[in-house]
Amino acid sequence: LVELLPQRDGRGGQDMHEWRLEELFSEIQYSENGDFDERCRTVEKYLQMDSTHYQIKRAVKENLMSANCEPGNVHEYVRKLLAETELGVVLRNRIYELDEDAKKRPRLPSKELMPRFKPIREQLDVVDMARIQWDSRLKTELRSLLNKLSRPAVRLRGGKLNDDGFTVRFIFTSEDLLEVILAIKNPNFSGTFTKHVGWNLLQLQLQTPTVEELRSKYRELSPDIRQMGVDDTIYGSEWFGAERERTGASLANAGYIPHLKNFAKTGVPNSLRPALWGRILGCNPTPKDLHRYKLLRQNLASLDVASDSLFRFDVQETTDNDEFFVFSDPLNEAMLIFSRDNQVRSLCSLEPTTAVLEVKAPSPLDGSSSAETAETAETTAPDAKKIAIPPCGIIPFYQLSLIAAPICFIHADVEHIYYMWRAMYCRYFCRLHIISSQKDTIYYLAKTFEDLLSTAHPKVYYHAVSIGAHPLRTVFPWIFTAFAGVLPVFQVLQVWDRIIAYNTLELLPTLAAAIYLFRADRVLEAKSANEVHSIFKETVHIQAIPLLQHFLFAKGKT
Amino acid sequence: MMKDWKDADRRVGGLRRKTRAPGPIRFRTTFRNCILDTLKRRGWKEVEDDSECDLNWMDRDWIRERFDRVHLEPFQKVNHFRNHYELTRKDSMVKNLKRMKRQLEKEGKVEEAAQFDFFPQTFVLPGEYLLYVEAFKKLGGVWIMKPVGKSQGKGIFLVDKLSQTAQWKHDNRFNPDGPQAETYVAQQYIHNPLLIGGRKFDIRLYVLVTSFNPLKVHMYRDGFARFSVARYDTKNINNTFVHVTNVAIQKTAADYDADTGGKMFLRPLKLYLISKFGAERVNELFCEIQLTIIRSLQAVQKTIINDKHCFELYGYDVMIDDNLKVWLIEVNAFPSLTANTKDDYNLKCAMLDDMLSIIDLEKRLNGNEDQVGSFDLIYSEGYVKFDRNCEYTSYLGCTTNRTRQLGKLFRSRGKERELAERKLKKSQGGGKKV
Repeated sequence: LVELLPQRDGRGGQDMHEWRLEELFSEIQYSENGDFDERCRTVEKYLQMDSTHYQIKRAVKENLMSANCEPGNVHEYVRKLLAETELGVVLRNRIYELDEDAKKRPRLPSKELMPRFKPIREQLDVVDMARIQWDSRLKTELRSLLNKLSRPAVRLRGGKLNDDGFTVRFIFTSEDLLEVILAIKNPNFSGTFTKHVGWNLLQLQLQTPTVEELRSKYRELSPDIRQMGVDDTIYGSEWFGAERERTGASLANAGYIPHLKNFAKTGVPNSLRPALWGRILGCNPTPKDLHRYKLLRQNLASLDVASDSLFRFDVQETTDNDEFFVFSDPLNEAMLIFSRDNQVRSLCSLEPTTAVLEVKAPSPLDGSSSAETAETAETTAPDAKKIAIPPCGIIPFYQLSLIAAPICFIHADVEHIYYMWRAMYCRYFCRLHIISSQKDTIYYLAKTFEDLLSTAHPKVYYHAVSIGAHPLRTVFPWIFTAFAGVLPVFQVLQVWDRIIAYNTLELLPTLAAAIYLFRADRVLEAKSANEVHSIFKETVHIQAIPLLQHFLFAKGKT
Repeated sequence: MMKDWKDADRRVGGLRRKTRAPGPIRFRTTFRNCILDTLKRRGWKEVEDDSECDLNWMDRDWIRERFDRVHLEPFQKVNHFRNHYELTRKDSMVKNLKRMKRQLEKEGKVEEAAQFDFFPQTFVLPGEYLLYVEAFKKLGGVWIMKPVGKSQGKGIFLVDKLSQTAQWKHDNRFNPDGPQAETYVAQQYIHNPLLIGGRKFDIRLYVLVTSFNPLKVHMYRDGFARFSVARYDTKNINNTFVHVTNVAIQKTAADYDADTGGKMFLRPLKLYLISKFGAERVNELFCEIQLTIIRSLQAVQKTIINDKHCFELYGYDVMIDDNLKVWLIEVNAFPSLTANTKDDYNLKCAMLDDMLSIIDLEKRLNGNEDQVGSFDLIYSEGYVKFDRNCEYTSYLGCTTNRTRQLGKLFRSRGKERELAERKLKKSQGGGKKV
């Protein structure tokens, strides 16, 4: 699809296609039998609706005005302009993103007789029921917690930030989520009648990739190819790190996302991480973003929402350890702003929760503190202005800020940290905290782990199950936080490099299985669950990438 | 006292051993923290007797009072040089640095002299009070007052107006000639320290000097940065919690976290700095830190009384400002060996263990190793040459593979000794046959 570029000129005066009403604000989808040209036309159509397109058009027009080139050469000039400046890069990246988006969604039927296909969020109704129950349970817990605080859910600040004492507790932890998803079972499953259930804790039969499939998918991790995180630390090949930096710096300047992703597949040098991740995630704050951040800060200063104390409590827990205590202030601010940002819900790749607690927003007109507790607030008139608690729609849980903490090591100022955290959470990490049977969500990832480990080393799997320390229970917290807080920070960042590069979270259970196998001998000697627990507490010396390589590519494993 | 009488007896009676008695290595110490654990872990025995022990690990009082009078046999070692205060007392340090700089300038080595600028401008009070006043009037800014004899951050305060010093001078009723006059140093305060998470920090590094003449310096690869609890704020200079980063002071702050101890280790710090400033600048920075340490030791090389029995482990406190310039804050001859977290304990025990390997009372090494555990030899009558393939120019802050390295080292030395013994036996045996 790189050939798309020559067809994209910033031509003025294109013919407007007729828009169907439903199409106007829908998402891009390719039609079923379309060939390459057909896809180009679809992308072009959607590109014209896009705001980036208008910005680029405007910039090109301004440039043309000031450059005074002859009318005959306009095409050439514009083409050259796009090829050489930042504008071309932005355009190409946008086309790439649209293409990626379209490839994810199901194809449109070619005959327009059938109604437009609406993607179903959840295909299995047992999972759907579990999700609804879970969402409403969280909502009730949140409501009861806020009632206990005995202060209005939302109120305007009297001037200074008053800190209510921390009489809060966490709404849920990774264990709660694990218990809930373990309880999901499909009544159609044959095991309910034959009682043959196997060693796995998870009861849904989802298809997960095998080691061979993973090996071919992640072939850039093969030991034949030099990796950051492995080859830059081996004595004798430290030049590799310097060379990577040079290549990476020139790629970052060019800025075309697929190239950057390819580069990131073999790891990103530390100094280039801010630039590269910023490009790939598209999270470099523009002036508009910075302005928005300022508004959110004002919101934080003027409005006092009860869920703030939950977020603050979580940050305090996270910065209570050696690795992150330095960043308690930036992390605090970033998480509080995150909680106030109501764009988060719409940006998440999978909608976080459907049951959102909403209360009437206090308006400065009718008294400064509309003293309504969470309970009474919901029964107010439906047309009153509502505000969600917390406004971002993500209910805070234990270790939410722990996942944000490694990002503090990448950027120094809060705005950058915030936007990068938001991009990472909305794209990838929100999928770790919801109940769904789709690919790349926590259920699927946990099942992948079980399958990988039980096929690779059934002996240690069985032994662990028999002493009461099922491997999934040990490993679930690691996947839940994407290894933040489990591995040393810079190992975590290397793993996240590959998550961004391959655009999937599948490496998390793979790494979990690799680490478990690494300690397999010691687990086999363990006699109780406590011993197993203490074996896996010591993770400081684990190097993530070599273990992944060993797991995927070692020949003749047991 | 009983001890003195025993010693006197020894000196008179004779029965003083010239060579050490066989058996495990014996040590003597009054400390009860990491150093004791490490010594015991090596299998060494603690003894009470001066004359029997191989290693004396002593505290400040013993050094001050007894060191001059005690007689040391060739096999015995003490962990301090007699006049280490030339390096560690703030006023002596300044004096020696200034002298070194002047000497280099006199010899015409202007460039080298210019490199001795890692110490902020300092004046010793009460002696140089007038010079200090002149400098204050010319430069202004904030100055920090540190008492010379105290440690752990005691007695430090900041001034930003000359009237405050005058006030203090009057309060203390100090008299330049009087005996109670407490010497202070007035130093220009580093107003733009590098901040991480909005907080000020300084870096503690461990440096082992086994001899001053020839100068042999080993530096430990790991170390840690000590953070202040509160955000850095130039407006409030009276808040010691913001400005003084010693753990002893930070411990008393209201929101000091006993679990974390306010320390970040050197490797994560280095990686963080790399992602912020780029590998090249950080490389230069760490190399500069190493060179600063060596220069400070070169400055006192001539004044310290060298002694084959002596070695010393220094704790260097270094600060970085936001232009990535290195400032030497002070040197400690008695760095704290008490650990407040588990990782801290591991670091100190590993460091002390490697130090004891270098001291080599068991006579297992040759004495010319470049790396022993995580200690790297950085200066031995000349800068130690660096591996050209390596992209870093200093091992400081790099990963350590100390257990593997130590294993390899001792095995190779063991093999060498075996070979040497076999050769000797062969030559002897050959002689005998004939």
